Amino acid sequence: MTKRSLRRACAGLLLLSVFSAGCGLKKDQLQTLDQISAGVPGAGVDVEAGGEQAPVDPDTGQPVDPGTTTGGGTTTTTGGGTTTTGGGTTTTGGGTTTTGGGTSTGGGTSTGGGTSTGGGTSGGGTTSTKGTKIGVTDDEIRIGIHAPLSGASPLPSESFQRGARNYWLTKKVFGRKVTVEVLDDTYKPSGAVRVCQEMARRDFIVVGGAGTDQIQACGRDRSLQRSSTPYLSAGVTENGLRGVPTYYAISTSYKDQAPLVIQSATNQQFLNKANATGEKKWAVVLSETPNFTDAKQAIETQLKGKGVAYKYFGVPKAGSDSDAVSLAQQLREYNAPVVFILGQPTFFLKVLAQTGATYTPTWTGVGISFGINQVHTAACGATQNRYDGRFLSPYPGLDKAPKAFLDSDNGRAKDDIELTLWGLSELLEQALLTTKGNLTRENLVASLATASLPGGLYPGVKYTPSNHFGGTKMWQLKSNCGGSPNQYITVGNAPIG
Amino acid sequence: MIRPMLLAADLTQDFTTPLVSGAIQGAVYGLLGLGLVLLYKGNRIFNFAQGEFGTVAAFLVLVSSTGAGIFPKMPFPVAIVVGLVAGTLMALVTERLVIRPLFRQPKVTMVVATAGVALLAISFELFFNGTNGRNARPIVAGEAIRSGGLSITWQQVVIVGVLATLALASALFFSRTQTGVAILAVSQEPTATSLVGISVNRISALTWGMAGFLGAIAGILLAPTTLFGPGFMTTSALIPGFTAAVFGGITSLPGAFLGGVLIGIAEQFGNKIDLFPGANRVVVFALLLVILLIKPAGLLGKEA
Repeated sequence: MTKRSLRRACAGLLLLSVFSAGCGLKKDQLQTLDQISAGVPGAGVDVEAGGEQAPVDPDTGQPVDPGTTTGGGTTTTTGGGTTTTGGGTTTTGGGTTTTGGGTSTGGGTSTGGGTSTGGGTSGGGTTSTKGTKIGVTDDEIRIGIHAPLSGASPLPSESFQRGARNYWLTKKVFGRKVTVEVLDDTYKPSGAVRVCQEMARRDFIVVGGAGTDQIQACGRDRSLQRSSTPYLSAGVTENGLRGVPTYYAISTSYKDQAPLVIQSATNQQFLNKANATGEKKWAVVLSETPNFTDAKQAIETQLKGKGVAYKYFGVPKAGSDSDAVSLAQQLREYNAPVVFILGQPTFFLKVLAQTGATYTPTWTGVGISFGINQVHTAACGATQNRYDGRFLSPYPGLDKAPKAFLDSDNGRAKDDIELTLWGLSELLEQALLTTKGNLTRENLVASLATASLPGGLYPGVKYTPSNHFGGTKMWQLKSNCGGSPNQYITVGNAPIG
Repeated sequence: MIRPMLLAADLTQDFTTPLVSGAIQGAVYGLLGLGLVLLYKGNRIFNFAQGEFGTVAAFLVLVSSTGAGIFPKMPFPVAIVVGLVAGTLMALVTERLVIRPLFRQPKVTMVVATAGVALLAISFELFFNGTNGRNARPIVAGEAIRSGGLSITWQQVVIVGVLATLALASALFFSRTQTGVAILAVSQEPTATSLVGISVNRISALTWGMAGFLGAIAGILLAPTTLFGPGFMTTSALIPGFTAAVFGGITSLPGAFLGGVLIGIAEQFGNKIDLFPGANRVVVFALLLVILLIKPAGLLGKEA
């Protein structure tokens, strides 16, 4: 290539890049979630008012300062009704009008107890108020769920997709049908943030289906918070999620499950289990991620409190076969009769493939991932049916599945992935129904701050403005390799905690 | 007196366990590395589909031995033969439909094409299996040695034995047989080789068939040692296999064996470095860097 043609090529490339950049700066492509939540006209979404605008008193027409009149979870009486205003969002009862639009800035102590007793219309009324109604129409509420359907620890996609929709086949909330979309986050935080932002543009609520790091990434995502998108997930880490106003855990966090693991071990009599040489000790195996730090500290505190000897084993988050070989050796050397494990289920199964039937301790830990029957099947296979797994779970085993679940969708056979989504949907329905006033994102977030969800399949949860980790109970699951049914079975008739 | 004895026991355990288990894990990498080296010697390309010859074989053994899908339930030895045939056939089909039409194209085109074959194979595996992990039956069950934390299964003994045998046999094949020499000749000068009456196409098919056979053996032997699923050989063993091949000398079959074993050992000793997660991988790549700086052709590598 001559110098001249090289120059021409460079000039052409330069022109092309300028042209491309110009194309990329089209006005309609510049709209961000911030602008959507701020109610920029022409954003193409249903926005009635800015998510962060000061709410307006319907009686006086004057702006209400959320920090002075309703902050800190105080109870205010306005008009003829008693109204709970925890979390800094103004909700004025007494009539049929509710003003949302405020941002929940809780942190104070709620004295309202989460029971709005106002005389106003509660939940999904049609009165025009301010607030973000993305994903809500007169006849539909849209929910977005992200989960790892591919990647390092994939969940069965078909079960997840069907389970996410099953509960809503015959249900309506505030007279609206509920539509659920499920997107694959590929078990990567970056993938999760991408799909969460995508769902926040069209769905009313975004829900984290599984994967601690992915849930944390979405929960902390600023654009989701700025668009007031309620983000709910099963309880995982509290790291980075505590204090996020739009985040709510619908089951017990890992940290809070630590005492339940000990309680479960005591109930099932393996807390002080001895190995062949009479040693009573635990091994604690965790993936080395900052998101498990709270869980690690919690279980260590519990074990120390009970006087149980233990040794900690850290493993890389994405453990390879070589890491599995190494951990299996270390565990065999330490020879603990009980192993607490928290990490990738696929890595756990690789470790079991290494230990096989030669080292068969009691494996225990927090829920949700290790308690799924997919793990049970592979674990039993790897250990020649000598797998002894005792894990906590927010939902019971299939042996305790409710009749409504079994009969749903014409009674077709379902697995535990569908069961957990049934329980999750049950809580989502209860969460939606707590909304006081118009069904807006802001009102839902504010209402949840003082809500008590009774639960059903999942244990109930109770939130306060300063604590969005309201779960305290968990079910206990136990392996049943080679038994009937050959799957995790429920220990006891009620969740512990 | 007791204290030094205990210390000696600890040292033995600290040294022996990672050494032995590293060698075994490294044998896994070496098995895959053998196929990679074979094709590099034959075609001068890195074959990204090598891992999938093994995954497909492992799946075929599983479905044949359990009678899943359209497959009748077969005795385990027959299922192994089915798996070996499947891996070999896959390689032959790849050679005929993908590699041969690209024979005169730049090598990089062929390399990218092999990556395409791997992705296609993984897609088929996902289609038929979903994302489920599977447990494969070992060829020989049971534990051969148990001492403290060290546990060696018979399956692992078989892996090391098979790898050593294959590395030796392959080296002899290339140095002592006319076909082996013909493969080397085709890789270096295909036009001249065809002028002396050697069929380049036949040699190419033979090379790929052998590589497929080696990949199938690797897959069938490795599947019982882990949780296997779609693409498991590509995701878990291909990169270490490449590293082993480069480490040992990309043109040396015994080098792949040696490279694999050394990398496995380095990884296991790297696990003893408790500074940060993944320190073992840093050790491996640091070692690779050092070796290549000192001896760019790899440990046993030489032209042809």
